[in-house]
Amino acid sequence: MEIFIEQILNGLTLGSQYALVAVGLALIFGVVEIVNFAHGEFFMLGAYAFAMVYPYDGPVPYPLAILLATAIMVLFGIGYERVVIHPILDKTWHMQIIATLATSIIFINSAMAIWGTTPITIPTSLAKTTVQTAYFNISYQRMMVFGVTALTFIALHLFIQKTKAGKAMRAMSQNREACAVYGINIRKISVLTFAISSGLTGLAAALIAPLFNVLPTMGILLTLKAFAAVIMGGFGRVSGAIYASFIIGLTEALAAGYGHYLNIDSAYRDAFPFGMMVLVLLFRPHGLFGKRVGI
Amino acid sequence: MKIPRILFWFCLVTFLAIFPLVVKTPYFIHIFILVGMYVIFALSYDLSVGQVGVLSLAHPAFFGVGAYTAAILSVNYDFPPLLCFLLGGILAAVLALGIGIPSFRLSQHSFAIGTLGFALIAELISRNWIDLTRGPMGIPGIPRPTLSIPYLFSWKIDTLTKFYYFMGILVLLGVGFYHTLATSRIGRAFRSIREDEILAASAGVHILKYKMIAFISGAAMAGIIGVYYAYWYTLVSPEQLSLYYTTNLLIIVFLGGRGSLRGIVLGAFLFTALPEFLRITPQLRLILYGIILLFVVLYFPDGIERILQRLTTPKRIISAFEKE
Amino acid sequence: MAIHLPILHIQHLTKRFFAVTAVDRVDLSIHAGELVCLIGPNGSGKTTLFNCVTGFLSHEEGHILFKGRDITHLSPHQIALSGLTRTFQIIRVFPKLTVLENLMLALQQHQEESFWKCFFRTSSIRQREAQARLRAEELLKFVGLTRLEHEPAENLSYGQRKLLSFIFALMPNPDLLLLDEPAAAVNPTMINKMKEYIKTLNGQGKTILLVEHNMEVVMDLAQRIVVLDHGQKIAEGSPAEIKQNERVIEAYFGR
Repeated sequence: MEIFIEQILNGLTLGSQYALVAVGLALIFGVVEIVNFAHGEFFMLGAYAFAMVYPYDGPVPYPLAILLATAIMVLFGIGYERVVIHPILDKTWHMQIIATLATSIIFINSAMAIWGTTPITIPTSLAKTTVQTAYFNISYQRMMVFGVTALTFIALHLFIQKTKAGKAMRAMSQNREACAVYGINIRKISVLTFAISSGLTGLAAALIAPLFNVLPTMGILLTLKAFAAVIMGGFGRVSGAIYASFIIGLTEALAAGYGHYLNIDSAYRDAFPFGMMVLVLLFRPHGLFGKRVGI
Repeated sequence: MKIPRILFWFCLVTFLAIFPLVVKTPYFIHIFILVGMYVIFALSYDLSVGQVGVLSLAHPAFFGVGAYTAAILSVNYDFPPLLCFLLGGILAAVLALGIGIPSFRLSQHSFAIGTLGFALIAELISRNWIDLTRGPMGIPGIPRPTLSIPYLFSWKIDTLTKFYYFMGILVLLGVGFYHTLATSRIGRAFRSIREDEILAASAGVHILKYKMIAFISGAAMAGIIGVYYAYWYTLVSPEQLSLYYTTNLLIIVFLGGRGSLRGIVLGAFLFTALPEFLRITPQLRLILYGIILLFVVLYFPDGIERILQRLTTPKRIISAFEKE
Repeated sequence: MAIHLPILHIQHLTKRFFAVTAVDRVDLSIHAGELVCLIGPNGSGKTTLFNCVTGFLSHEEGHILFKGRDITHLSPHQIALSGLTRTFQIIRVFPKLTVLENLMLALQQHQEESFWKCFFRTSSIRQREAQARLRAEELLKFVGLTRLEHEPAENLSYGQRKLLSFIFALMPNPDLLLLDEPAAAVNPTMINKMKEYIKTLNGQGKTILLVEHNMEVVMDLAQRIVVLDHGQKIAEGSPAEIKQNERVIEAYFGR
């Protein structure tokens, strides 16, 4: 029973991480219609940014460090949109994929060159303090992850539904050409989308990095899992991506925890999201929650 | 300025044929072998991907299958090398069939991501299925191959020079296969799919069948060159399936120009030989590759081929006033 | 084989896109040798009908029988191979292939041979290539594009591309030719040329169904006109009958 709850908590933590990253990816895919292969690297860079501002459980207070890391990534996202995305918006889709793949390589190797390949850990007092209950232990860090993730998604939902900018984003995801006619500035929305997506991954990194090692290659698998979530969630549907992310997170955790009963090496747990994604794509090519689209 | 093609190729082939007899430095022979490998590898990628206009990121998996097949069969079971070559190609083709059938039903984005997922699973398997692949340690000690058909010939390849000539033969075969296929009706069907899938379908082209043919032939070719790699390097490890090679392939094929034989050969040479002369750290090299790839995609999506075309073909102008 | 059975028989065809019924229980029959025009205001479902018939769209209800065979579940290339070809409203050609290569492609699948035969260019394959080439040159001469034979299709003017896509559809000598707005977006000289070509083909016995907005062309060419409005067939008859049909006038001009 304890293992079960522990794995559920692991799964929810993973799910939160994937969700924050996948939502950013879903927004980019839905609004700007670009497949951003470098998205996992946003997370990786966010983690390093956080490590820069909060190396020793200080000197800045933790909440401030989170804000700083998020802000740095927001700026990064804006820069990325301007330098990489803008020139490729009118190119064919495989050029776009290759371009973002290329930037992914540039980021990974730049990170290796700057920070080296040894993993670093970012200890926070929150990660070390735990709450003990009758059934499980949970660190404050994890509680914070859940809490902040939930609040963030509520805020995002309100933003997209209620604000003018949010409505513009929704409009652009439905019909880009029409937006220009109605006076919606496509450039600005594109930049905004990247700013939000990048900020979300920065936030995710600041929350999650204390729980894991930080290395330059940590983003690669994450990109793919985020894609798996976006695809299973219906190709750009934010809510679908969130559900799918948690499904992936929970499946991974449970597989890791119980895998040995089925003789599955825990190393294979990374293969689970892709296995699921492949299955979903086979039987429901439009995702679990997506709508059937015509030609 | 027209460069007489026959003369050019003749000089090139002669140069390459006598090269190891004249230049004794192993380093340079080594480089040419590497170039040859990348030529075949890149052509195989173009077959799978460039000709029909899809974007698969699973190609290193086929190379890896070939390499591991040779490694496992020759080290553990003493299979003759020619048989390993055959089996490497076949197994890679079978894998391509397995990946292609589900993946080609997907939209283009999903296809790219799906094949990436498969590539990752392949790498995971090679890293973790210790019983078969010995995991991260890889399979060392692959013996020098003796190519032989009983009663016909036997050729033991145990020096660098012999590997060089063997590579030369493979390159000739590879280029020959590629060229024959690309200029045949099948190649025409491939390119029609790349240009306009809907029009091709309305003209009777079975899209899925041709995509699969392209995908599988490219995979088989990659598998075969994977076998060569195993014998040459004598060690096979999960690194051979790394996504790093996908980047290299993308650069060469896009730099050289999809569907262009000479562009890709030239691209493979530029891309493989030049960096060897650049003594920089692996990280810096990859950053450079990334930047080059980005640059090529943004500004030269048709690759060197465009430039080559301008150099060797006079521009033809159709005047609006030309009489029939 | 009964010659009086329709070559194309569409029965109760219905195509829905979520809440919109784009094609609503349409019945349409075309007999060999006919030249039928499909007309109707924008959005009446003409191109959707074409897409259903040629296999690019699935449909919810109804049957489509071509030469007596139900083609409902066939994919586009299978339908093409059975003798039904089409042009597209937005002109499609293979831009980087030459005009000749475009045309050869249009025929090669109909002469299909095995992979290895094609690879090794056996004599039967070379024969078929030669046949295809002859036919291509014949068609190029028909529309006056012979001098552009080796030109990449992307270098052609709009009108030339239109002609190319026209003979592209003709290459495999189809039993039924579907033309989507052959007179659209070209100058009057070209329109007259197209009319002549279509008349000549029909004179030779070719069965043609065309969608068209240009009423002059329709009235000149059609033996029979079918009118769609909001997905439904509202009239069918000779040009004279349709001209006076009140429902048709209402559909185009309102009350």
